[in-house]
Amino acid sequence: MKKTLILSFIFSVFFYSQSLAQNSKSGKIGIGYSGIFTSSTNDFNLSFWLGERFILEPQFGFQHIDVDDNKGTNWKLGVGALFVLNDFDVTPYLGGRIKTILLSGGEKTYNDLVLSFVFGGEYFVSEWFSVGAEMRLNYISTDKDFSPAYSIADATIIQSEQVINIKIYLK
Amino acid sequence: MYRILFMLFLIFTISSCNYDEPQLFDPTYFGESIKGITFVDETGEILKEDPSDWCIGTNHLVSNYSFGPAYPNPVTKGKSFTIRFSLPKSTFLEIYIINTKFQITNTIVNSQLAAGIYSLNINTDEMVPNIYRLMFKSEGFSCSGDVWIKGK
Repeated sequence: MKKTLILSFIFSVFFYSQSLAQNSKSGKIGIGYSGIFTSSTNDFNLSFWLGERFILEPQFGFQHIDVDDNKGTNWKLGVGALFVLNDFDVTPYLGGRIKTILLSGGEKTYNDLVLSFVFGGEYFVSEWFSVGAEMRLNYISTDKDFSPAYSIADATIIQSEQVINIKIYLK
Repeated sequence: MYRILFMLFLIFTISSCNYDEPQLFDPTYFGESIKGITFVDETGEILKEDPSDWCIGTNHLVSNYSFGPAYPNPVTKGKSFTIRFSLPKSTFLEIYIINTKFQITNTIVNSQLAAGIYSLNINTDEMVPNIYRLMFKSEGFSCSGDVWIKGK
């Protein structure tokens, strides 16, 4: 079910993005860091401006876990679809992100799903560098057996988080 | 004289000796004896409230602590019930299920949790039909509520 959701979201975002016209920031490609340094939310993004007002952001992250008997590395894979509201030096945006968190340690594999509604802004310091902030409202569905990332089993969680983004544009 | 003093010292030492029974919850913490339950249907709607149970407040808001009520309540053995709780800040949380003899039968949560609104499913497969008390304890907030596990 989770895999189907993730795949359908990725494909719908991809096909929608193909239909968007190319404009000024269109075609820009960046790599970035997303997190607050001290928290467990530390992700790396690739930003693809697939139109003047549309950004596709695949995400990748990892986090070391040491909870009770569960030791290992949480791998985070996800994708975000962001719709730019205003295309100036500061670009506010709305969007959604979907992320799966996997911990494979020992005999078991744990899997959490995170859906986020996001609102943020990105300030272009130069053509090649930007900083931003983002608010996320997360809906989290944790693994039925246990979630090492959230320390709870078979639960749904609604929580907010704030992160900063730093991006370097290659193109 | 020395014998009396020694005996008094011995009695004092024994009486002040503090030992823990890890599988028993402190009866004074257990609160009042179970008088009833809050009846809740499968959608979470309260049908009949026991005022001594749960800490719902006005709502499940992330700005407040809240706990429960469990739903459905009563629940048939083998099915799961859900509890909701909210934490206004990251906190170390303990949630236990205790039977009427103050024995901890299940540890549901015993860890540091982030702020948020939680909805947690609890399976009753391993529980003997009876009334149980759920104990919620975090830094600065504690609450309890009763759940009736009915036989099939």
